[in-house]
Amino acid sequence: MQCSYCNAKAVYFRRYSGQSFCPDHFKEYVERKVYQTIKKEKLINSGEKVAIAISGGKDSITLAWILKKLSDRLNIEMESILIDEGITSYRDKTLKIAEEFCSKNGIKLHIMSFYEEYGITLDDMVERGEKTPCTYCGVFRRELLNKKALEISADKLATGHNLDDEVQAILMNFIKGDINRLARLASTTGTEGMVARIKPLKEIPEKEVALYAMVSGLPVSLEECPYAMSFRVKIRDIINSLEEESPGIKFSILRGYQKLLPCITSTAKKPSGRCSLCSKPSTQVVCSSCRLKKELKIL
Amino acid sequence: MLLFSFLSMKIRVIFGKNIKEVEVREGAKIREALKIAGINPETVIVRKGKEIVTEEDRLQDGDEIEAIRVISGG
Repeated sequence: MQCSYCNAKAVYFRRYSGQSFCPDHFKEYVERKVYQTIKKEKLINSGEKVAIAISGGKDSITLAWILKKLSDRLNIEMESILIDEGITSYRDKTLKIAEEFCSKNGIKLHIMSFYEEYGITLDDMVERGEKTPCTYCGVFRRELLNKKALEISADKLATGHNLDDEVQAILMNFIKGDINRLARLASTTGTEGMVARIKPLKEIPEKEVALYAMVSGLPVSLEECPYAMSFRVKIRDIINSLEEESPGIKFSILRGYQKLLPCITSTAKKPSGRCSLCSKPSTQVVCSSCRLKKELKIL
Repeated sequence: MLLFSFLSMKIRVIFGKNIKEVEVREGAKIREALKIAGINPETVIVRKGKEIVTEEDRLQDGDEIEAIRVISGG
């Protein structure tokens, strides 16, 4: 198959638009799409400092690489933050990739770990607690990423969430009836003590992120987290089956969600108060981090 | 049935540690071989030799393709 834009051989056929791409035109398309998302949604303003949540996986490495390429055009400063959760035989591999990538590309890397911050690894939390691994990981990762982003005076905290992640989260929250979380998914505004979180890859399907990383020769790990959540995996498989049958359905779900958003944001709770234990912004009397710490007996 | 057998091609599909040999009709696309091998094309990138190829590329009898899983779980 030939590229739709030149005579070179195509490496990707985008079924939802009927276009095929050679490596160079594919990279150009992805970078343009990320730039357009940033501009259209005003995710980053000129002169801002962006902290990138990096893990060494394909999404965060691709995000850091593209933002680095766009940094002059966007006029931004960037640093990265890696959270070592303490997942045996998984995080140590991706940590090495992230360290080498950041060093080679002149991106300052800050490393924090669950063990140093909380005195316990994620592996041990899973042994000790009753919640799912993703519950502990999600809450504590967010807390540490925000803590470091505040310390380095970052204006934005960028994560590598792609279109698939976004669509899975939309459906998961909808199925669970969690309208607060559903509304908060799209939030890009920070509050006092909370750095605004942005997802510049949210309009790039996961397969395209992986292909971009491969054709760009980026040193990424495609290894799956050993704690990958079963409910999310079910939703992921359903969405991918639907996408195979009806190309473009992931974008349809995202667009539908964006249309629905004005109706649900008015009913969603915002962190109006502070946690009675740690004083951080919270929608509840005791924030989720403190609740989990109490359950794990580390508070 | 005899005609179908005559026109079919044998394709080797490598997926992680698994190797499957599938039979597809003559002139079939990679997408069809993946589906017969039980792989959703939406979740993989395909290499033929050292080159990345699209799922719309056509196969030839005896081809070997590698499907690289690119979809994470969490």
